[in-house]
Amino acid sequence: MKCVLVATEGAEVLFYWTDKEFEESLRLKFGQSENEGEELPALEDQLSTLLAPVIISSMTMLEKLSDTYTCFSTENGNYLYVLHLFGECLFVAVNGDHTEGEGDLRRKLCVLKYLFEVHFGLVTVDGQLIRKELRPPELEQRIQVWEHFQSLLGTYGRLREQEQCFAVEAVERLIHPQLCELCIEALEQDVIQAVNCSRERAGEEALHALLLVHSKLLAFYSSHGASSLRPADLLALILLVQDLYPSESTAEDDDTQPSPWRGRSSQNIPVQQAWSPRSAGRTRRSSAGTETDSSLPEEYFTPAPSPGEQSSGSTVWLDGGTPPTDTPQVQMAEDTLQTLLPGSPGPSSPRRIFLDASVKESYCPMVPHTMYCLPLWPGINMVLLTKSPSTPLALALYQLLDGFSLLEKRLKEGQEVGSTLRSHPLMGDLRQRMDKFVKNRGGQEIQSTWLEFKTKAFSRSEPASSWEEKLMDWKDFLLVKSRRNVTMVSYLEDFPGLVHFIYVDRTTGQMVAPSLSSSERTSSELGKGPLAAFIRTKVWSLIRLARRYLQKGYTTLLFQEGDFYCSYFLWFENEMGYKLQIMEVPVLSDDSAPVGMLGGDYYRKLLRYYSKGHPAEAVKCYELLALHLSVIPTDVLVQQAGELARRLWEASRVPLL
Amino acid sequence: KLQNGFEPDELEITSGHRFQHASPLVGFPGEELFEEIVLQRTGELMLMEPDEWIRLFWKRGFKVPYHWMEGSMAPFCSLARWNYFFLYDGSKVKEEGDPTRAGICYFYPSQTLLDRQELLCGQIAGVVHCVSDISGSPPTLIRLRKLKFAIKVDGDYLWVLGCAVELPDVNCTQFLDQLIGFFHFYNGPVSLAYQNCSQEELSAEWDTFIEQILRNTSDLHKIFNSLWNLDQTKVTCSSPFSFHALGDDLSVCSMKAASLSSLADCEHVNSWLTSCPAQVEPLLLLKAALILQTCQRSPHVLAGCILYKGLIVSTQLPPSLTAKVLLHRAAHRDQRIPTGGEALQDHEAALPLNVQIMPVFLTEEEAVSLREFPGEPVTSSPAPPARLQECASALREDAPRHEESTAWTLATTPEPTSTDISWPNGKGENGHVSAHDLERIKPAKLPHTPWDRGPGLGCSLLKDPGSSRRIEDLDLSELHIPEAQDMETSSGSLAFLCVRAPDASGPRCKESVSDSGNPEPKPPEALPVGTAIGGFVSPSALEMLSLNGALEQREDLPGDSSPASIPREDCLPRRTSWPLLSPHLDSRQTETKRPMGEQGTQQRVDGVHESRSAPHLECSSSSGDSQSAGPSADGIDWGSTPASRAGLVRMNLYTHSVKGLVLSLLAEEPLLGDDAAVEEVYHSSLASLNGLEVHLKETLPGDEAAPTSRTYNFTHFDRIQNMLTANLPQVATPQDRRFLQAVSLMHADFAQRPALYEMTVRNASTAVYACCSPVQETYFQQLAAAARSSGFPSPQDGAFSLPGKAKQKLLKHGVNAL
Repeated sequence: MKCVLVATEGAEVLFYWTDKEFEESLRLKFGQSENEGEELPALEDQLSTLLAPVIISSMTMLEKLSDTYTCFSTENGNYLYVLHLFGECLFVAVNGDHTEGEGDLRRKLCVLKYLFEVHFGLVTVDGQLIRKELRPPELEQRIQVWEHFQSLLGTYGRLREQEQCFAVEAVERLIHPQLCELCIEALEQDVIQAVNCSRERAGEEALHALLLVHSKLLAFYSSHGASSLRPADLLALILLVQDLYPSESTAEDDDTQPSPWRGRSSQNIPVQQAWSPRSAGRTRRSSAGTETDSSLPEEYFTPAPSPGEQSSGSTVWLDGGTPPTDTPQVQMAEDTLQTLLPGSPGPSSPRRIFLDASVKESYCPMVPHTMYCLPLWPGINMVLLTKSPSTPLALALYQLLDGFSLLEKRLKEGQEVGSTLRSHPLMGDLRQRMDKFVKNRGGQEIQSTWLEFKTKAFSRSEPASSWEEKLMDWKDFLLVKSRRNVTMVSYLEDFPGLVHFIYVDRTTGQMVAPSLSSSERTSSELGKGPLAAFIRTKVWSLIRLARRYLQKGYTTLLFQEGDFYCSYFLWFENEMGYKLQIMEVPVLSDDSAPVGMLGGDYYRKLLRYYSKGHPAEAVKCYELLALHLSVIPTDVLVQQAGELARRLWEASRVPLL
Repeated sequence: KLQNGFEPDELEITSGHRFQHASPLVGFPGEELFEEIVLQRTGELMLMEPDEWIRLFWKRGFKVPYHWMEGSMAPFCSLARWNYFFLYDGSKVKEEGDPTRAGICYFYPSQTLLDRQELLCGQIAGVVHCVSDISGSPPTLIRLRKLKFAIKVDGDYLWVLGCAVELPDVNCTQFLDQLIGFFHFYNGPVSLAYQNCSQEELSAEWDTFIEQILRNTSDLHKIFNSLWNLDQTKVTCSSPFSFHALGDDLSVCSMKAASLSSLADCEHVNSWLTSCPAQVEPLLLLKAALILQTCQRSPHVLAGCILYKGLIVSTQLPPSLTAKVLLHRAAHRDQRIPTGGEALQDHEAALPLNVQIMPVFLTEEEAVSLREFPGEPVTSSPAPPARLQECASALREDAPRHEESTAWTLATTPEPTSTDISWPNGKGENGHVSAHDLERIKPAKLPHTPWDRGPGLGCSLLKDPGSSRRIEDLDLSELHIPEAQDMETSSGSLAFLCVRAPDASGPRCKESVSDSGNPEPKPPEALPVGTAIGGFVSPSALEMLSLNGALEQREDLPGDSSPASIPREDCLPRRTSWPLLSPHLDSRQTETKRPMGEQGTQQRVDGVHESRSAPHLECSSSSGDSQSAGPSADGIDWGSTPASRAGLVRMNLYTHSVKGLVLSLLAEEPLLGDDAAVEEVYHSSLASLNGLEVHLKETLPGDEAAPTSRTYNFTHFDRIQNMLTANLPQVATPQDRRFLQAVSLMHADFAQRPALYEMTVRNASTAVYACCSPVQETYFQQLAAAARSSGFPSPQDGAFSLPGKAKQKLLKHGVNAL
């Protein structure tokens, strides 16, 4: 019994998602009240009818009371409604089966909003913009958009329940130094450099390349000119890839997806690798602004990656980019693709996504990138992020708009009430003309470069992928490894009584934990039985409670529940590993953005906040969650936790290259 | 003031955040002077990033620098006052044109602008309707950013309580339930009350209620929803424990007894004595207890409590009822004309000095629990019917113990000897005993009697007498009556944690069981009790039965049990949180709202459950059965009382004030018309009350000495009695507020996670340790400035030594932190 709805102030549905049970309950409700013969209203209309009073009321309250609803619950929490207002849009999540708490629902809404932004840019600040994106007038198009996000929500829900990395919202690395090194080298030379040297890249520039094995990160390489990729963005990319090519275990209930192959995975090690923010190379875009400063399209917000061309793009892509064409799995993926309707964005077609970046030391939220996803083998994907030559436009536009709004204010300010009329149309006119110009020019430019790139970037003439052959040898190993990334066995001897742990480096957004995954085909060390399920439940519950207390400002938590001791620690260190004194962590309200990375990036803010008090040093933030048998005395437990943290920290310090 | 000419104190931003105040301050990279903007919700501001500011303000054309506010973190806002409370009658606003104000029965605070009143009533009623529509049940809680509303829908009526958002959800809901409970207690069902009294009159009463409640409720009490007024008894910590002095065999530990281990040794743990003034001598409390017992022997009287200057000295009532009785002063109105209480006027003249009797309305659970109360009658009747006598004799063998258990009062009972004196022997000859007996018999004779049912109060719970009788036909011997007897007494003493050695009473009671099986025309148990629960066992009992498989036995009987039990369950309002039979089980259950099955998963208490709950359950059911085993007609009458929609039962509240001392007794309704009975109560207690009052006045210190420097804070919550023991000062320091914040969080988690046993939380400023058992919660905080640590796991960290310190320090308060 789940439902998600995004609506405008006027209760117009911008997006919805329901599970089968909820749909059924709607059907019953409307089926009963309507006459037999009449056709039921569309699902979105039913939802709109049902929830309109709440939506309208929350707007009324906001207007009159300067406060608005955040949550409803019915007796015993049988039904839970979470409401969150983003800009002018109300996001509502409903759960009627006790499977999600308020925190879960709010997180879902925040993640959904983040996904909207990744796809459309800063649209969530403006009701009209987001409406334009999420509710295209053409029904077919609208259905496509909605289906896309419905699928993403489903994928996110599965990952959150199954993968530790999505449960704690941190990237999990596949730990294999040699292989990692090999791959990074390959990504650097054979992908990034190759693309950027190619004359056929149509002005597009490859920034980041990464290799994923299921949902784990095997290798990551950023070009020198690239600004660093936020861990949250990286995790979002993994989510997108998992949505395109679901891993086996996460796709169990979703037969419609292609490649049934992926196992799934769950653990990682933070290794200080090619991961680094290349702060050296940020000088690149200096000249970009001059030639583009007048051409700032609204398309910035509505990047419209011309749908017509996408399918052809994907074909080309597959032709050129998929290495071992003789492998049956790839063949299958290709077949699946070809069955897609012409015109629909194929799964592997490039996508415009918006990621945070710092350009020339100035922060620019939501810089458009193009994401290419290349399935190498089922379960193993390569992702390439590029920026188009028009990317600097984004920055310039961003600044221009800032200037405009400022100018607008100035004008308003400088003139008396009577003259506002005069100034206002003037401004409007100016802006309009600007927009038109930008639209014509910028739009074309974007379209042409887009087309060019797609047809040329990964043509067959690309440097032969010798590295891919090398990787081929490792393929099977990788797939297995991804399921047994870290094993608890290796810790048992030194940490008797320890049942499970999760260690997270919040600075890099990476985590390490023993595998807990158990799917149809694979099992963790705990097997597939009730024990494994039980431990999983415990771990998930610990994560939830730890977050709850962190939200309220507590950085240490130790509790005994049933036969287990659960502990949670958060601390700060400097670069040398010296433990810094803890400081007061903000106390947040229940309806604040969730503690995590995807929906609001709490940890980044926390680090920024903490760093204020330590301007001289680079501050790092770590978390450790541990599950012990309750027979272990607490002092031993704490001792172990400290020891474990030290060991994991050491491991993460080993340089890879 | 914003630089561009906007000049609002508060600026509404697109997302609905409110910003207040601005002073010119910071420059955005390069250009303008901008202002610092203070977000009301400080925590969020501190974490806000530039991009978020930009996003927030961008649309408005503001460019906003972010500015970290250091050290402005409010540790914990006081839970403050309620923001709103209102009662809304939706039936008055049906048509389009009906103004919302027509439906507003009461609105607090009354000075709220009518527009705002209408806004809140209208919007919330609308949302409640909408959510009910989708979910099939109305919301119980509606949260906003800065407010939360507990909601209760009662037919057309909508009760709403708005609290500060810091108050945990569950407390908000419980407060509302309590408020509704108060109203019902003194005024009966809402519809009736508003029919019989003017809105102004009731509003005035509400104002008084609320004022008194607010005045007496501290943050700590809000967190725990503990009994009101306790904060007046600043000293709570030392008092209850003084009773240990009473005697070794008297495990009277109110606080301490809660620990299960000591329970096992306790014959009777009675701790109704809530918080008694510190220096009160145990003897004095015993006096109070004895007064209550004595009164109980009078006809009609069921149970009561004694208050001194608003503090509970001794109570036999369950917490929910005690809380209601505590508000008596507020509730009392001159010339009050309660529903159906027209007789009151006539009798008032006849009442002794300083005595008032007013009709009150109990919930069915409360009524059942009071009547279930064995009270004296069972044992005291001089010439009881055969069965009763046997039963009594059986009891008598245990006399000392049972007797003690009936003497719930604070200190439980004193030595058996003293009770012996007052009891079986002397009693029989006593005049009022027979009167008492009469009273017990009454129901049978006047089946329709006592309740002169007001409109709306009439409907009978037990629609099918036959069905109830069938349940009664159960083979009682299967139900292990032995413990039943035992239980009966203990349950009579309410939250009595009575763990009896099964040995003693077992065989004896068995006899009585077989006896009770005999069809007797007038079963001795024709107590109000038996009849009240005759056909149906109290819901909690039912549930427990089913847990224990005992229910199966009933279901074996052809189609009997369900008709009786089902309507009952349906009619019942939400169960009060007061544990009826198996205190910890029940309280757990209501608090956590979890299926009973889960309770079993608490490994650490499993054993205890077995030993305690099982006997309790069985006996509870059997006691009901056995009592109504005879002719059931009367049983129905009593049991059915006014089972109106509200499920309320009418009784009388007898209050007798002697200066600061107030004796409050709950009695069956006939008391009001029974001058002889009133006289009897009056005279039997008058002298002792005067004595007690003098005694109290002499022994009670005037002002509490300000606590000397504390080195720690603690709070001990008795889940069964809803009682708090704490050493927090009136005015909270920042460190105290941090303690409160942690306590409120952990308390909510303990309520939701039955298996959660022990918890330590720590932030930069403080560490708080808490532990919890089915019967108690203990919280401990050390006030000494802890050496600042890094938060990295280290055994040297003081936070992890808190459990040991808590155990050690709290021992002297008599608190056993498990």
